[in-house]
Amino acid sequence: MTLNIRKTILAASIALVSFAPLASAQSVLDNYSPVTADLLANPPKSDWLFWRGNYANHGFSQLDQINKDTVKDLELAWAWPMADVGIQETVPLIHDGVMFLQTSNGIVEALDAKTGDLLWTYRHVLPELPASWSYQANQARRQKNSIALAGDKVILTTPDAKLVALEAKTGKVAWEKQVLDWQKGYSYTIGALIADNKIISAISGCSIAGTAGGCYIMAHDLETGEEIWRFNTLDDPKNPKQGESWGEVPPENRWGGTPWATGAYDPELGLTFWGVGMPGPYAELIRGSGEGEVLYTNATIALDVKTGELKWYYQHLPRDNWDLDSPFERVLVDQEIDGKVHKLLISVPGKNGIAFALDRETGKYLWSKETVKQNVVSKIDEDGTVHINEELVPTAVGQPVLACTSVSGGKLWQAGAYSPLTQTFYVPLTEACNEVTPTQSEFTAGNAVGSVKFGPRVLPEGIDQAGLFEALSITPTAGDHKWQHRQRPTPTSSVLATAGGLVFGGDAGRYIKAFDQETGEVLWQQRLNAPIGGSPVSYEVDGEQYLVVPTGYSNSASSISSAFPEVPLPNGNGNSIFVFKLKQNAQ
Amino acid sequence: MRAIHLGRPYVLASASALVLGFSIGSAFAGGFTAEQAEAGRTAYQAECAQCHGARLEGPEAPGLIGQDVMGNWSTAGGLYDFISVAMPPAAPGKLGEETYLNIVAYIMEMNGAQPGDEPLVADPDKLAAVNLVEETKEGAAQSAAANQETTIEAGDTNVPQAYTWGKELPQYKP
Ligand code: HEC
Repeated sequence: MTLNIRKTILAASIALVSFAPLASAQSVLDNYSPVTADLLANPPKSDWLFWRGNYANHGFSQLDQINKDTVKDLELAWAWPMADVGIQETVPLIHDGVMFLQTSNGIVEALDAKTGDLLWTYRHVLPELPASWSYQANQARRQKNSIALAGDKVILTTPDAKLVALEAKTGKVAWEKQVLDWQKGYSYTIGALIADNKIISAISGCSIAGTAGGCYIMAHDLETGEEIWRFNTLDDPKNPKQGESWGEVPPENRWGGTPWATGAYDPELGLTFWGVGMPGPYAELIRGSGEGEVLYTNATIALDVKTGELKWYYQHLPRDNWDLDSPFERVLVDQEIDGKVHKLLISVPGKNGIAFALDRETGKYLWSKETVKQNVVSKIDEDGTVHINEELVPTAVGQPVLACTSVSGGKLWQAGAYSPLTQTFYVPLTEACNEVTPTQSEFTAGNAVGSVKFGPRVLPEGIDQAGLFEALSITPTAGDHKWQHRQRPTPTSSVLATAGGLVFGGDAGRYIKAFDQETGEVLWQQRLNAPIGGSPVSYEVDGEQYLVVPTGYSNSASSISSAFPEVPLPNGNGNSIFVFKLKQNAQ
Repeated sequence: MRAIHLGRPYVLASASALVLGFSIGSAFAGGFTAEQAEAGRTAYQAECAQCHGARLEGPEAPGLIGQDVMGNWSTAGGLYDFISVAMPPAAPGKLGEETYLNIVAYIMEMNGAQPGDEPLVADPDKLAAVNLVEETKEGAAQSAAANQETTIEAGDTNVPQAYTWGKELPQYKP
């Protein structure tokens, strides 16, 4: 029977590339220039080269043609259906007028960013998973947050745990590398970070039974794909505290620790910063880790980009019992005050929605601020020690506790944006709670090790608006509410801040909205075909600024839709992109 | 104790074997009727299949098949409580009690439980008394024995287990 597996591996290594017939004549691809290290360090404002636009994960566009005055004149330039269905977390990348769009199942399309013409398509051929590996199949179908651009290549991370380098001009495979074993459950669900001539990537699937004991952030050589270093978030023999924090549980019975979001990079410090997710099994009763903090789950880790050596870590949620991951985007902010530059790392790292600021040179805790209703953290000391609410730790199998936020957030994968104009961090959030009940069940291949039953997502008591766009003003000493936009349908996309003074964000009710960065006033909105998904981004071609908005289902829309039944979600999947620009005559 | 099980061999199965596996005689009854499961099939195919798959395999949404999935929902009540509030996303909680019960019956049947004479009713205590793993376990194992190709329905447990697996843990008494 293992023969079957080998056969699928063979099939998997054959990839298909096809070309659009008319792309040859005079294609924008002819003028495609390499994405150099210098461009990555200083991205041109006309491009969108990363998941969040720059190494600092700002989610900020320097373009300002679309601004508070002109945004009312946005109109549709073109639209495009994605090549596959599946949960939507994508971000289109744009360089030299070429848009690279990846969809679930490892499909990448190159499009002319001005006209919407297809230039080439790459389809990764995936092994067929056994039907009973349902969790793994679902995870693999989830659209990744991004691909990465480097030199003349497009770097793709695949659901079968490969790195694939495509020629940006043709979509042909330059090389591919099997990084980890998909048969154990490993899969990539996020894109890589290109830094210091390395591909820095983080694996997912670490809460699938077969992956016990190993969850990795890795560096591979940008030219050859050779591995340079790896860091295991579940087992760090160099730090005895890490092992002790799991109590008696040996590495082979540890799961989770998944870095679910692409990291940030500070070239000056030579450090790359990553967030780490929850431990598995979710409840300490089943996990067997007693009162241990289970490092490095729910922590920020700072790694030396050259060696992968751990410089510091800070744990945002020790002793997680509720699947309240803290892996989300880490954002690097420099603020100069009285001649002193403060190097901050800010984040709403976890599902519980608490915002944090750290000193990113040392990992020292600076401040935290609650956003949505949460009841799992009872107190955070001056020195940054986080205390959990022990009343919410189940002590018996079958004992339900009502945890806020819910397994679907609070905060989820949808990334916030930092605007240097307003020194404000804009974050999409959800008000929700759910019952969490530990269960005891035997693990099976391809399936998750949570061992917890989740109740339906419900609104916290006294709240009837599930959606929150939060604007947090940021200083080295405090974060505070600048404004809050509350609404019933939940935010379902990342947000984008722009030099035009706007914040774009979308919701389950299919509206893409433009907020005034200062006041939160909605200056423009447009209803589309499906919940707004992925990350809206902005770019410029031939002097015109464009806004691209992905749509389609994500877990964020489906799991809490009972909180806004008056806004029924569509039956169809809808994965598409919509591209807007200003009306010609309005300019 | 290191909780690693190296029991059953790896067995892959074709997807079609999944559906055929469960038409085996009923020695045990799962707390729902054949009529409920049949009505549930229609409702499921109309309201859920486009995301959770015609055979409950996903993958546009989490798969609803397997002993681990059953274990996580624990009882028919656990599953009912979730879907009758949250699903389908286009009309959460709007299909009505009877339809949700039928869909629970169908999901149980697809997981290997056998219908009986007693219908599933919307009584929280009664629903909580229907243990999903117990009801579906034998069916899954039996179908596996009947057809080697469906061993996966019993779950390939040739993987590491939780550190506490096999240990007696305190049980909650409401
Ligand atoms: C439009 C797509 C869609 C439809 C239709 C749909 N679901 Fe879902 N369902 C989802 C998604 C997506 C999730 C995952 C939500 C999350 O993870 O928060 C989900 C979650 C679930 C879960 C929880 C699974 C788990 O392991 O957490 C169950 C059970 C479920 N759905 C049952 C149903 C039933 C029964 C129907 C039909 C009445 C249905 N769903 C219709 C998309 C759908």
